[in-house]
Amino acid sequence: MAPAPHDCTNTYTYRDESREIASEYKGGLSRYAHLDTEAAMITPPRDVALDFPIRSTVIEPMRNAIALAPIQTSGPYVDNGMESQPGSAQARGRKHSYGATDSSYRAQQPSTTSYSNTDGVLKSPNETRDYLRNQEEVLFMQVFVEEVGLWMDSMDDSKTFSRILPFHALKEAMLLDAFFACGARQLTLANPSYNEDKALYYYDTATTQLLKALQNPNRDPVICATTAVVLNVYEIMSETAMQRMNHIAGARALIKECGWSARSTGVGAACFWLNVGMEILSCLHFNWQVAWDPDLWGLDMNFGGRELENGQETVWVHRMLYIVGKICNFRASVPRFQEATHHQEQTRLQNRVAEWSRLKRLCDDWNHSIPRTMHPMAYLYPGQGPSKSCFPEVW
Amino acid sequence: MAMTLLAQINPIASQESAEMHSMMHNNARYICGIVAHSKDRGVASVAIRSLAIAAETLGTRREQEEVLEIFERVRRETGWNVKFLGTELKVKWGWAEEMPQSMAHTSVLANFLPSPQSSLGPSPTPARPMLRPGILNPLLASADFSLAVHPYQSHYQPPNTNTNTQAQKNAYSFM
Repeated sequence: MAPAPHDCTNTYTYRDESREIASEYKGGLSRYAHLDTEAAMITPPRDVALDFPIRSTVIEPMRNAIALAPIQTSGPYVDNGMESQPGSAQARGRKHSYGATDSSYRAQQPSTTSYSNTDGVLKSPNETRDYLRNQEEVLFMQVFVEEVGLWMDSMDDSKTFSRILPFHALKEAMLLDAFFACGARQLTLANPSYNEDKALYYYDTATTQLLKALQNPNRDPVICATTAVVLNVYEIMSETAMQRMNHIAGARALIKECGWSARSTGVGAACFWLNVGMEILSCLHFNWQVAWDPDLWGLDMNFGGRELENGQETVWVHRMLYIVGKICNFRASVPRFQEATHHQEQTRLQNRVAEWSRLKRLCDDWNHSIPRTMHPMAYLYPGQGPSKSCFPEVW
Repeated sequence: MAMTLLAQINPIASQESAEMHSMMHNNARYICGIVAHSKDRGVASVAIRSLAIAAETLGTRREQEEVLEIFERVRRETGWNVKFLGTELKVKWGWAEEMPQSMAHTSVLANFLPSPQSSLGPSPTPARPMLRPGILNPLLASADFSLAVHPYQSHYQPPNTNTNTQAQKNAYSFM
């Protein structure tokens, strides 16, 4: 249902910034490219975590100020104490932001589980550290945050992947390597002449560590699931099929094992929505039925709730994802064969009509219920503004 | 996007009916208009899929060419690989210079699909029947550790369930 276009001829001016954006991106890329990647070999950090030989004014604020809250997530699995910080998850909401000093700061490291070096876990050259000090690692992490995390967090108000998890990753080698893999892979996408060896190296290293962790029944399930999700993203970004490692299915299985769903918060929510979102996009492409039935996400589809007052946009985005998922399944289940009897055929048709009408109603209700901020601000007919597009400008 | 799709799959009214026709085209043009003028790189993944769906419905060469330009801009700005989308669309639009539809679609899928078993052993070539539309997502159909065949087959050990058996039951009970 197309809303009536607004008459903005007198009040709206438009400037085509797409060229500016493109050159800005190129500029950004050259900002990265000047780093001499030949010289930036992977070197083990000089410091062991928390054991600085020199205490400077730079380092002290780091150690006091980075009161990094434990990874926040919720779900049946986590509530029973398998998370890194027992008992802490429920006390805090999703209020933490990076760099914040929390008065109830707990001195524990985020990872206190037995996924540690004492279990003979493969140690990558990238040991845990307090901050990145390797030129290449900084490059890859920046690219990850600014290019990859950007879209991973597009439906996440907390910006978990681009603003929160990188700090946790400093203490979790396999997660850190997964981030580096994505950053390195993104560079190869942006510049085809950029060598993919580093991307492959980090992907292999992170995968190896994850597989090792999965052999340990006392592993940290949150870190494992999150790492798999990031490696899943890597695979999405890679152009060729992954024949042996399949984190696409692995991430989904680990998310389910953690009990994450539409009811989760924190990292669990971020992983869940990213994962189901990506599934829906690919099912739309290939006309498949989604493996995780939207009716089983645990999503509240009651449009009369409190979020109407708060104008909370993310909830409505999630609801539209649900609707699109249902439509995707409806489309994929378009009957291809005749039923045996005319009666059965008629019954099936009636059911299909009823379902179609229900979905249409859902769309209309959604459109009527979303906050004003989610509707367009402007509508210009083709030719009305300076844009040469033959499509209307909807902003 | 939701409305565009619904218009195409109305069980009793064909796409050619006036109401469905306008529903489909209006919403498709909306999508194109939004994506054509969007500067938000973060929504590229959704924008690409929405535009691909909307673009299938476009009938004029000028509109089709503009969509291809939009995809190219997205690729330049975000790195997302969209070249194959252009190929698929040209086939759907009936551009004479493209190869038959079934080949284009299948080759795209073959590039995309990893091993169908999600295991770590030597992977067989993906079987053709797996690529047909309408099936349950084959990439995720066995993405559950409670199944006999599941991801990370050779490595996975169940987590310590001493305190969590009930929790896992709870976790699965509403899935």
